[in-house]
Amino acid sequence: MVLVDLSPEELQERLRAGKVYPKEQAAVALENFFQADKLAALRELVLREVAEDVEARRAARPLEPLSKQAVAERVLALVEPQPKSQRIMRRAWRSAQRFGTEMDAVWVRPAGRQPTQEEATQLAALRRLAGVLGVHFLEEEGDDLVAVVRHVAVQRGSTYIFVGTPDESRRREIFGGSLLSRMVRELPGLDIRVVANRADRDRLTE
Amino acid sequence: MIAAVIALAALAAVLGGALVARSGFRFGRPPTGARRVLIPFTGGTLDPTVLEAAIRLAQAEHATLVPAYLLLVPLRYAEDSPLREEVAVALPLLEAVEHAALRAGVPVDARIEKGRSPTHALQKLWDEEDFDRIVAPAPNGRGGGFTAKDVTWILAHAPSETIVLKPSPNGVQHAA
Repeated sequence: MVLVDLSPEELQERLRAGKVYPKEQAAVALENFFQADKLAALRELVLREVAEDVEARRAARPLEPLSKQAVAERVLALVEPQPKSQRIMRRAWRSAQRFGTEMDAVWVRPAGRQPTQEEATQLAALRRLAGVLGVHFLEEEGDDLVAVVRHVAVQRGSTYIFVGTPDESRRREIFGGSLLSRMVRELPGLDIRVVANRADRDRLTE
Repeated sequence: MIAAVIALAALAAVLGGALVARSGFRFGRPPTGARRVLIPFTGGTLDPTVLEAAIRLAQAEHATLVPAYLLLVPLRYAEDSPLREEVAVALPLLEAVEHAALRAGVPVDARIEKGRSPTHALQKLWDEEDFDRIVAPAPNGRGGGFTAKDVTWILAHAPSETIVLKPSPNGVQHAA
């Protein structure tokens, strides 16, 4: 709330000078609502309202940072230069909108590896989508995906992570451990959501 | 001893194979068509007849379908402004198009592109990416979608083979 305080006389003077309404309209206004006693009553009412607002804010302040911290969310989407990442980013954005919060998207580029032509096209498309959605797009380098995500999540204050269904093989999962299990283990305190392909729901009834 | 080791290895291979088969795992990523069929649309509508035709075409050509929603940036905003409200209209429609294609077994690579007009957005997309074929919906006469002027522009400027499809006279699929 912003209060612009003027005395009734000053406001009437501005009206007469044509700074509020055109002059002919101002003359009518001065004879109707904009009379000194009505303006004085309105001024008193508004000043009281502002005082109450200030008081309410003062009372809430001691708990405010803690309560905000307790419920604040920040979304982080893990993307790759693949078509399915468009869906991951869109789905994460929808959740971020529901939370009324900011969102980041990160691509973890394997160390020392340059994107192929196809990957570069996909990355450019993801960056354009990030621009349309108002998402912060980050590019990090590293061979340990979970460690990099952990670092980014700490840095950005992320609370909610969106990932696609991993492409890892069953064999790797058995012998090397699942990526998702590792994320759950090594990213404590963060919610993790796996974004599925909704069109696959048809397979539930097969 | 050697026979026992061979028998154990064979047993492990069979069990491993069964496990992989049971998990439904397929080696490698799902196939992505090398050819790309672009279906641009705008104005919160896409005619189902046009969509079905584009999906059939992509199927026949083993191509990836690229549905692209073209967002208009009003002149009062900078061109690179985020467009949250407009995106909220575009997303459900784009998701519906994506599901329809994926259900038909067609790989999808969806886009949202923005510009001052549908043709401006389309030009920006063509500047960034290559397409083998373009399927554009003709004006539907009910508002929304491309105008006759847009379609004329598309036919004159499209960088690849372009098909303009007449929408069904019955109905239009609207954004939820």
